[in-house]
Amino acid sequence: METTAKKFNFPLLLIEVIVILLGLLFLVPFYFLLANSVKSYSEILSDSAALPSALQWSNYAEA
Amino acid sequence: MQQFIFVGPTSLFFFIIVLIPFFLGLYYSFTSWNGISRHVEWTGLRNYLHIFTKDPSFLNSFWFTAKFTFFGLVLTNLLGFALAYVLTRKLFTRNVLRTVFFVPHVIGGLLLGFIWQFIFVRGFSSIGQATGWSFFNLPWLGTGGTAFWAIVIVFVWQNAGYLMVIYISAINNVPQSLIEASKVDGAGRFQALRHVTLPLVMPAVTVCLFLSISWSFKLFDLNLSLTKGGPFKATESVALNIYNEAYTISRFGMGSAKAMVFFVIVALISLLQVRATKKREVEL
Repeated sequence: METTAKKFNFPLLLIEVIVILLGLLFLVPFYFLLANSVKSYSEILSDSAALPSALQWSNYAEA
Repeated sequence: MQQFIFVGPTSLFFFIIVLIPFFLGLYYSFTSWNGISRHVEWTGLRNYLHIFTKDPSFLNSFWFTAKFTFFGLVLTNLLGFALAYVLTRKLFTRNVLRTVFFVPHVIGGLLLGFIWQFIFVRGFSSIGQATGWSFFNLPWLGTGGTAFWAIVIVFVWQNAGYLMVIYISAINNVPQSLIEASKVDGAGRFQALRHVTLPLVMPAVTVCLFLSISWSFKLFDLNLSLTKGGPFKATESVALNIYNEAYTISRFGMGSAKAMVFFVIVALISLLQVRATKKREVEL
């Protein structure tokens, strides 16, 4: 089994950054899921992409 | 006798769950049964004639599914293989990233479809307002063309990770000594990939192509949750068309006939694909 590299390797680092960005892109739907789960209904309708202005945990209590 | 005992339970359930319903479906495809009534009227080949001559929506849905299969197949496999190839190199965050790319497959398709429907309708419009990029202001689920790509995006997002896992295990099984030998012989990274790694992972390619063909041909849950076949049946997959025929319009006979046609075509394509890729597998 190969181990993680310890030497500094620029092309590999560049690949790593690109893959991490792609991974973040893959996680965007989960951000939407979590962010909107603590928003009030009117805030979801007005701006669903922004971070929640106030955490409304009662959504979970009601669910 | 011993064989019968060992195979018994499996074949019993195979009969009850697969074979008997299949032949019942075959029988109903020759009738005009509506799914409820006790009276089942035999109509011969009329359903099949109707499908091929008077049902443009079925042919349209077939064309849609064929297009979708092509793009879904190519994109999921390319992305899955690229991710696998990159994530078998010595990256620091390798294991975390493998998990990240696999996570979409863990959640059920229907739920993902509804999450993405929300993102396409609400999320994209608010991103569009914030950034002003026209890409996000398209009516993503509103027109046939964009809705097609919306389903392709969600499909690739959901399934690329699964194929990635298969490809990773295949690439890890390629002996390091062969790659080194090819490097000694002067092969670059791309040549080693093309002429050493790729032939040796062909068994995985067979499996992945088979999986992605059958997934995209049977596309149902994403289709139902994202567009319900709309707008104006422009994005209706064959599975959804059959479902609508049988359960919405209550024509079980016609639905069964469509399902039979569908079954024959999927079986043919899968068979051809497996035979074609089997030939390209090499033994070490």
